[in-house]
Amino acid sequence: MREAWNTLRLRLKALAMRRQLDRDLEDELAFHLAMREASNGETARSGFGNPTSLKERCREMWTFVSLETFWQDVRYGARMLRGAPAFTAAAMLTLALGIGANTAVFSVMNAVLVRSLPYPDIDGLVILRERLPTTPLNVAWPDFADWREQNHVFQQMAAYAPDESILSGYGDPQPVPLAMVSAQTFPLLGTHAAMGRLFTEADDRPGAAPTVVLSYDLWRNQLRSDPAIVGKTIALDKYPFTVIGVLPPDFHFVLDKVGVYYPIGINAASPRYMDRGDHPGIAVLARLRPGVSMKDAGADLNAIMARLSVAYPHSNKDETAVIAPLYRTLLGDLRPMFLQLAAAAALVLVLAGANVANLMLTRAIVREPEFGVRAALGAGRMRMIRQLLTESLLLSILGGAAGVGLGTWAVHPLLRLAPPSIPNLDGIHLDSGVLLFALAVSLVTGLLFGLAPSLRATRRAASGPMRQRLRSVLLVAEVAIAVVVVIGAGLLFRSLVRTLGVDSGFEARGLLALDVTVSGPQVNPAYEVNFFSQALDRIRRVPGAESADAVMCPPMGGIGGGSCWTSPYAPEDRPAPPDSQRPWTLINMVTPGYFRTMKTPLLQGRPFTVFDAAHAAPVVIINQALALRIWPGGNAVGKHIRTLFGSAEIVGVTGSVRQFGPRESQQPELFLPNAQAPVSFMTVMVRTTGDPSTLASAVTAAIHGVDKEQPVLHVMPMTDYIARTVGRQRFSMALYAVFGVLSLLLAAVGVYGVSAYNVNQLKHDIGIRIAIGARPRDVLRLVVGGNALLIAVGLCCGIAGALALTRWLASQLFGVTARDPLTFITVVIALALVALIACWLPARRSTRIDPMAALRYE
Amino acid sequence: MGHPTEPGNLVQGTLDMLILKALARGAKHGYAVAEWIHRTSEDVLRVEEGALYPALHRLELRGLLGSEWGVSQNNRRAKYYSLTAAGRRHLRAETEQWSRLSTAIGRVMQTAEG
Repeated sequence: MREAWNTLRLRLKALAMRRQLDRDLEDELAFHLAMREASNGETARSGFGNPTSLKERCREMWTFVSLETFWQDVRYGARMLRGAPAFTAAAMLTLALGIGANTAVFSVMNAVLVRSLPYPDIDGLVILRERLPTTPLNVAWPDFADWREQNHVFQQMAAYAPDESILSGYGDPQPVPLAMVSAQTFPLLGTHAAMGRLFTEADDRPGAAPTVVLSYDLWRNQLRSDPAIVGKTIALDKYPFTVIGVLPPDFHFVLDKVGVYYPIGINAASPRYMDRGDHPGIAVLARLRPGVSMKDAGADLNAIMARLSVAYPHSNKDETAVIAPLYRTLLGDLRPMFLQLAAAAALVLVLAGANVANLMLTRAIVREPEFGVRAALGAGRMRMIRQLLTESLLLSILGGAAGVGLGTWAVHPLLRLAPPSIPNLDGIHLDSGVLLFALAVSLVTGLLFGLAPSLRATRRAASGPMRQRLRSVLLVAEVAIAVVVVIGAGLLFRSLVRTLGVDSGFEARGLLALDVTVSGPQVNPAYEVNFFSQALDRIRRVPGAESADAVMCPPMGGIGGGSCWTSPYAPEDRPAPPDSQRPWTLINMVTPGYFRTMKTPLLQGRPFTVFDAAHAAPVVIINQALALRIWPGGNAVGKHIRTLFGSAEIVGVTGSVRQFGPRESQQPELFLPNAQAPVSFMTVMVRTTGDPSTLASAVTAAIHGVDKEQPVLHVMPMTDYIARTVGRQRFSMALYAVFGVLSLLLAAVGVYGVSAYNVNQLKHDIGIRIAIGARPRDVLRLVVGGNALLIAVGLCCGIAGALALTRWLASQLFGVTARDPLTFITVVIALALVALIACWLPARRSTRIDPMAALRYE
Repeated sequence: MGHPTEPGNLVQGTLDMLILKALARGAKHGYAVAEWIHRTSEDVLRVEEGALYPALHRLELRGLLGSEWGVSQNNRRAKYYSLTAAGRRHLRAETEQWSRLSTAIGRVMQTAEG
């Protein structure tokens, strides 16, 4: 082993200093000859044998013969490629497109699917939730405490909950995503402090001093890398917190972009946390004990839940626990979405490879004399195949390098389309993983698509028909793949159009939305109502603003986390079921003119007015979905309904709004006037006469005119809000569209190439036919006919392939089936047209062949 | 044993062993190695250049010999070979095996004929 290593080392050294090696051999033998001459007077060369062959034998020992030959092949190949710049450019560009598409998708997948979950032993990590038979629920803190004490299946358990707060004291007050976490959270996820320390049990209990741990990004950006931050105090929502540590830069929490962590256990003694029924809700992370399966863990947990539902029937009746792997919860449908994208990208690469193989076949014809000469000079077939493979590898590596450039450049415009819900998109960059992937893809492509043409080209009896068969197969494959990819893109496009065309229940155009959260020591319910009413008054006076109103939970869930509340309800015109059996409805708070501003139709009754004030009779408006559920007869107005906010009279029924995005169903919803149920965070909706985005700064200024300390966030036109909810679909659609266009182009180029080649081959034939009186139409039929048949076969294969493959897309589709006939027919017709045009262009030239020239040429 | 003028006659392993032995007492250039073997064998063994240099280079590549460029007595640039630690071990093993083998062959050959 050591001997082999030694040999390799010396050989590599010799390789690096080839000239030195030659000179040394020369010197050594010259010395020997001189010594011989000196000692016995023999003439130098006699009895010495052939010095050249001796030198050659020594030399061979030192060098890698095969490597030398390979190097020779590479240089020869490079010369050939330089000699045919058009061929080289076409092949390289084609490969660059194919490899670039794959590199781009891979680099995104690598960042999102692999590196966004940098937790040790991710398979052992699970998320625990509660649920009622029909509704998923957040976990109640006391339930979590019971789980932690009574379970037999988890090594560690941690609770967390998202929050947001305003960081002040460092420039303008700015919102910071916050996570309340229990002390076990960080050890569970396997991270350590980069500076200072992380939470201990002592920090994580009621009455502990308020401490925070910061994310690396927040420390670096907002706190300007303050090296002495540990021990300092920062202000969150104007309350002081002591910084005890900073997390390492590569730590990602399960919630995205969290800047500040706060011990959740400090809240544990508060009445809301102790309530098993009406509670703020937490999420629970746990690590399974080694050897415990997901099923066992679920059974153990539900045994506890069964005891709890007996002990606390009021809050826990019918509640069960649900256990899910962390990676599935975090990545959701991203994994299938990216796998589908990767498959589409791979198809594009196959298409590109087929094109290059076709180009190489054509090249082989041009090079036939060259191979003839080489064969005559004694080059074996293997030697020539090796030469051709080297050339195709060289091409694919050059194409791959260009593809990596293209891919990394193309990733950025694509990412602008990506929704923020995809984790770790900032983590996308060119790293060794991506480069290795690109190299591997290039090599495989080069081998696969160089092999068939080189085998064909070097076969002594490589006759026309045999090449023709390979060409036909490639042509059919190209058309078929293009059909599959373009149909996929078409289905996603139709889904997006359908999604955007859904009646969302309000008029989004001309609407400006912005989030306002009032905070500070002076804030109380009266202040909140007053603040929003003054701010709205000022906004209404802004030129260009038609009306302005506010809502707690805006349609599409909003951007700042989308706080939508729910409550059990009971109509009072019939006996009420026990608490835990009551159905649930969304609860929302609005200012009086909200429905008019949103242009949501009021179907019955009256809107809220300023007279529905704090001490007036409690009133609510319900949406049609809720009204139909309780009073299908349609006489809801005037009835009373009880929720967590008490009993109130229904004064109106509105149209239903799709609260969680266009793809979600209309849910029952109940509105309260915000004067009767004040909240500190609302989304202000401004109906504008012109382009809503032009009013952004004037509206912000109007709010700051009331209290300049209160931050205004996420100012954007409502249409952008909606665009965000379809972000994933749009992102995926955009990538498919790119792949679709690429495959269409590649297929067209491929068909064009084959057709042009045919015309060239048939030139003589056509010349004769024209000479004996064939009309242009006959000539066209001759040239196009065969290819048209192949295209038809390709289209059929493509349809079959698409029928088989598009069902993988079903989860991403909305409003169309995976076999949507309209999409299939449109795509097939479009592709047939493109292919026929690509086929016809070179064929048209054939009708103008001068018969005499064609014949004389022979 | 006759005159092994053809390099093929001297079994490859044997030539390697002789070269290692020639270098056991210190570094030598190729010519000196051939001379030493020639002289020590009392003119029986003559190593051809055609076999010597490939063998030297092969041993060097195997790491049994080291080499260094130096100046010879007559002031010319010459490549000096010397034993490496591995070469020395190899020589010891070869010597042992050779003496066992030659003793055995000797015993066989000394038995009376008939």
